[in-house]
Amino acid sequence: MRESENRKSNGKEGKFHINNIRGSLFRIIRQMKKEFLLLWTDKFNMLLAIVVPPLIIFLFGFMMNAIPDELQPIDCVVISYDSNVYIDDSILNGSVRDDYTLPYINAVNKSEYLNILHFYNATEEIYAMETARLMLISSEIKVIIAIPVAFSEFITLGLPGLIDCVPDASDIQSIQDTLNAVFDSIKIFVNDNNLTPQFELTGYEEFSIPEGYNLRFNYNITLTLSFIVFGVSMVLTILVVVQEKPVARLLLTPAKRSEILLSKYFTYTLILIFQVILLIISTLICRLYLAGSVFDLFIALFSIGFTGLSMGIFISTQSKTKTEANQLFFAVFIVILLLSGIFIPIDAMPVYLQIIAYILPLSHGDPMIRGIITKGKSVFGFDFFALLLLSTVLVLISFIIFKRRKYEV
Amino acid sequence: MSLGGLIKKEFGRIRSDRRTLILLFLIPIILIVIFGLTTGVGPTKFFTAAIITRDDMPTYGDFPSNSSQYDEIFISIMDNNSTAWDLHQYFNSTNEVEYNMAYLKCYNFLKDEKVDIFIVLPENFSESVEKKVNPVLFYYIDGSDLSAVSAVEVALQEPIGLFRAEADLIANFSIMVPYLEFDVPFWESQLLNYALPLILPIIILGTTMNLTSLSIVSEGPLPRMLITPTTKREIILSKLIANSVIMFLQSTEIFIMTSFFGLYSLGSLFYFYLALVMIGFCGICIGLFISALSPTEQSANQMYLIMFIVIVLFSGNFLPPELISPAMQYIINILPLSHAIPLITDITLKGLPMSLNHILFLNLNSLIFVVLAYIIYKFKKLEV
Repeated sequence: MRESENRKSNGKEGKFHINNIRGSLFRIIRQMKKEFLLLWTDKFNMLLAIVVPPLIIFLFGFMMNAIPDELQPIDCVVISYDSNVYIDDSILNGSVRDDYTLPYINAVNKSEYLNILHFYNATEEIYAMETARLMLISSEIKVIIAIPVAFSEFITLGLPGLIDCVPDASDIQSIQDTLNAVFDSIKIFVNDNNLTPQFELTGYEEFSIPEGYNLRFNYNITLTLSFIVFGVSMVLTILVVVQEKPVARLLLTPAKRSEILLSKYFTYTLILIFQVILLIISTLICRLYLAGSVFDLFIALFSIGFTGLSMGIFISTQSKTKTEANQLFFAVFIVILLLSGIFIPIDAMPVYLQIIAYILPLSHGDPMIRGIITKGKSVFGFDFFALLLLSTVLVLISFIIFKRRKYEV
Repeated sequence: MSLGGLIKKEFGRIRSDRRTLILLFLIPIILIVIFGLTTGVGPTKFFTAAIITRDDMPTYGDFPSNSSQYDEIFISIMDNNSTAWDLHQYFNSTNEVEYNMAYLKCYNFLKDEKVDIFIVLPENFSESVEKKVNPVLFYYIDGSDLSAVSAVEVALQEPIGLFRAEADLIANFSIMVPYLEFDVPFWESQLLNYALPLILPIIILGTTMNLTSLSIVSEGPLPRMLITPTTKREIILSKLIANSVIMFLQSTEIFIMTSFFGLYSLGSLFYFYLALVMIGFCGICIGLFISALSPTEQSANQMYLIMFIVIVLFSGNFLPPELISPAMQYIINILPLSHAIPLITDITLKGLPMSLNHILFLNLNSLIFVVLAYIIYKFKKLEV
């Protein structure tokens, strides 16, 4: 008798559970429908969220692909002090040798990385350095190359021949290119004048972008993609909870808080999927080189976008007013942006900033996408799991906050 | 309501929004303090390398006598003496099987980004050094890291130079000695000062755009004010003036904070301050334009973000303007950051006065956006 009662009650409970789940699903789907209708009313917003990001990618790709392949030589001035009198301290003997000046000038002329605007012989023009410095300050040239007084003497005596170069270091990004160009002229100089022995460097590039693909576009797109997908999904969701006034009244119906929040997550996740697909299509049209699979790229972009989405909803649940949500979004966004590695490489930051940077989501976007695009790596690496952990924490906190929030009907 | 009254009302509205004001003044302080307290981060690129030496393998042909005394010197220099290099691990291969295993390990180091490069010293390395014929170094580099690819050969000159001195190979050695001009001295806060021309305009533009991007769209009673003699022109003007005063205070705060936390400026501090104000004013105008154009707060937020992305992306930081076509340069020129960055660089690092060209474009930007904001707002249909 007791057993049959138990069975009956178990059956009822089972039925109850199924009905519960069914009811819950029904309510979630209805609320998702309501969310979509709400989004549809603000078409301008949807246009900005879905159409504009691929357009930015197209413009970015167009600009990058429009850059000509031929090299842009770096403008320079060469000043020679070589024909000034060099006094050897050990033998107190004066020398005015400048046998290697002309060969070096020829090497600079030969280098496709350098373009000589002026050559000054400092023996005749004593203010040559001042003139050149004025050109450097006015950005007419990028570097001053100075052949020192003992250049020819040192090479003849079997000592190192030094070439002084004074690059414009105010533009930190171009210093390396300038040094490379001067180094190229030295390589030509030693080869042409058979100055042996020299170290020959033979380099092999692994994981590089193959010929036919735009190097600049492929190099810069990784940061751009994560920046766009994270930012757009975050900004799309920062007001979804805080601006919805009927939430309090919704709670009088059988709709549960978890269902309300879940429906918002599902709705915006669907939009995110659509957004990511459009972004991938637009990058592929702009000739993205992809060593890995499209699926990996999709998951990578989705995980970055989902972190943005969960951060947006987290901000929305914990803000009391729309203004507060806007402020918090901006504060979080600017800190994430400045510590993302876009402007200052994370490796160049001090340790305490690196720790903060690695907690923030955008620092994982670039290495993850770059690994997939250039190295064909799987998406499921450290960066993916870091993003997963971060978004899980944000989702959980947003559910807890939303559950404990007090609403006045 | 008179213009004075409108400005007063606008101040009241801004003052009631305490959190925005706190963030507006707090974010720059936090970032400047963090960057300002960091020292010693300069323009040098550091490399982590692995080395495989095949020098112990026998050599034939031109080098009948087998020697392997120089590879260890090179490895030791890379490990201990070089300032730009850090040795992750080295492998000594005495046969092809060992070499293949070492190569595979190094390839995986490269793939997992544990090293930037791995160097292979060939079988005849020591023999070439001994006989004073050109020794060859093979290196394998991560080609997806453009900054490493462009810097590696110059960076290798340091250990090579030290090695040549050690191995008595200084004859016929030519090397460049760089003297950086207009750089930030090492005793100053290099991270702050190199990042300053970029982060300051971004912070100022970002915060001021944020301050004003919701100022029209979120103000509910604004349409009702139009029933009174107040005109749309006065509304826009009052918002422009009130927000400019706030921006003025923020620029002053940023100026004082950067000066206090290690600003290195060769140029006039007055010009520097003026540049900050101009950038801030441009941000106010763009924010007003966004607010006038957007139908809802959410779309104003979206538009703010999109504008911000476009400004940052096409500012010339990713694309050197001199490389792109004139038509595209026109797009870059109409964005404020393309003028703000060189303006601050010229003042702080080069000690130049304000460039007329950059001032003109920056203020033209502000003018265009504020006029557009007015026109859009004038023709906007508002429901009372």
